[in-house]
Amino acid sequence: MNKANEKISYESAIKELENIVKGIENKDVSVDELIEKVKRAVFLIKHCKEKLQTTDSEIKKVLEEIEKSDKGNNS
Amino acid sequence: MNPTSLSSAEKKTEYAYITLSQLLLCIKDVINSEFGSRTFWVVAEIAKVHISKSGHCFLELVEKDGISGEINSQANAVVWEENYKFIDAYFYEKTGEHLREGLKILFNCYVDFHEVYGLKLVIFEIKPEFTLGEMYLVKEQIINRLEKEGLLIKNKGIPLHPVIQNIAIISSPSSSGLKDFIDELSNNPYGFKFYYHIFEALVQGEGAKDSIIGAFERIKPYINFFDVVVIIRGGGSKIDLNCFDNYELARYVALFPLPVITGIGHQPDVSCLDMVAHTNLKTPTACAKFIIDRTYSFYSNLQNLLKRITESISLIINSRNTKLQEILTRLHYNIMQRLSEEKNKIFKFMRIGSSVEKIVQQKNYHIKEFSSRLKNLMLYNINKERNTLYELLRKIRFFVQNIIQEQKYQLKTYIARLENVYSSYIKEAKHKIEKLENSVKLLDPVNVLKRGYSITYYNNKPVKSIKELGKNVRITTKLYDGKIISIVEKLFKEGEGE
Repeated sequence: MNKANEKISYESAIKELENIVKGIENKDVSVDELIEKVKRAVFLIKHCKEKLQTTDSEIKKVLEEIEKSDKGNNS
Repeated sequence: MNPTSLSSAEKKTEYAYITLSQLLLCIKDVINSEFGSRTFWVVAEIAKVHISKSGHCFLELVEKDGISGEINSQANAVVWEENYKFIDAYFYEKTGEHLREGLKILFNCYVDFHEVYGLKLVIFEIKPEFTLGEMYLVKEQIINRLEKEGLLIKNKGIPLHPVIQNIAIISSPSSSGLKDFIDELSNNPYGFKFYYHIFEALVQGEGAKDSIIGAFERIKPYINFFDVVVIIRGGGSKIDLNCFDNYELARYVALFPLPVITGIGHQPDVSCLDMVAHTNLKTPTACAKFIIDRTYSFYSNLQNLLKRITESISLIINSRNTKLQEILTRLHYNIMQRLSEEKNKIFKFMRIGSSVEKIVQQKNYHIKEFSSRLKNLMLYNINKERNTLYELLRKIRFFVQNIIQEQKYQLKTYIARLENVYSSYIKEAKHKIEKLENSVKLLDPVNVLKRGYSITYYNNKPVKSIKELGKNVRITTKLYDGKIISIVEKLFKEGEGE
């Protein structure tokens, strides 16, 4: 996963994507813009899919921390 | 009662008294005679429950003032072990609860008095339906209150992420529902990754409320990490869910900053906890499916968007192509039109050229005309000038002639005067000359010639010697009255001859 873009939430990704797709569908984009938009859209889709289907070690780490502290609290 | 013992007591003191047992026996007699054979249906609230080692259930029953809530009656009761087994099972089956503090019960009992154990209501039958009704009432009150306080929709107002990936689970680790939930999530057919942590809590029975709230408290530091809290309980019986009909717990959950999903039971009625939750599902498996489906719908939305992008692109490309084609056609048409226009223009220009030529010719003609006119004009002027000049000349001439005439006249007169002056002189000179002539005439060769002499000329020169002549030369002989031309035949020197 691209660390620099880890912060993109699913919400903002889908919103941006929907906007892009609407923009593209409205055909009011220049070819250059279209290419940029499609690039961005493909990036976002790929990013989301990766986030959905690839184990994220960062999240795993957080979970381990929670595990430790929760066990401490609970006992 | 034993009168002898009484009297002996009287002896020792001055007061008449009886022993405790005597009194209690008296009371027992009265109670027995009054209540012994009777049973009563009584309603009371359980204040305390104690199960003895031998299995008897001892209860402290109270009645509270409807307004102040203060206890206005209190009594001890017991369910003997042989009854309790059945009563408890039946009660639990019906209400999902064991007898516990706070429950209102309708029971059938008789009054028993024991010298040692005192007054006791011996319960031999409990109507769980009454308790159930009471519980429903209580639940209804809780729901009404939650509704009034806006807590039923509080948690529902929190937006649920389109993808629920980080899950805080509140459950008992031994719950089979938890296993179902995790299995379902982990084995989702789409390969989605879910992250969860189980915050252990009692999810049934009396301690559940505090335990669940405790678990929520442990989640609180991580509310930014988790997308949702799922409370899971399952597998077991449909009963024992009353712990979820608790105002305090419901309020806590309603106000929790993360959306809460419940999967805590099968019963047709939802608990207060279910009602305040963001999403209420019947089973832990349903919770997992809900989460997976939600994620899948996001995923397929992505797919759909990708498809739409692809379609749009091909549409755009097609339309661009068509447009290009159109532009090309138009361009071609325009160029052709432009070309023909240009051609026309050129033709026009050519026509203009010819007309220019005409104009030029015209102009030429004009120029010629003009120049001829100019010439004429000039000629006219010149003539005029010339005439003037001629006039002038004529005048001059006339003037000059006048002068000449005048001069001539003067000259004539002058000559006349001169003639006059010199005529006498001339006459004198003439006379002199005549005289001289006469003398000269005598010397003239003609006079000589007249006497028969002649002169021979050769080349117009008088020949003085024959040496000057040659044979066959033409000589001229001048005589007094004419000439003879002759050819020399022979030349003789003086002394020679024939």
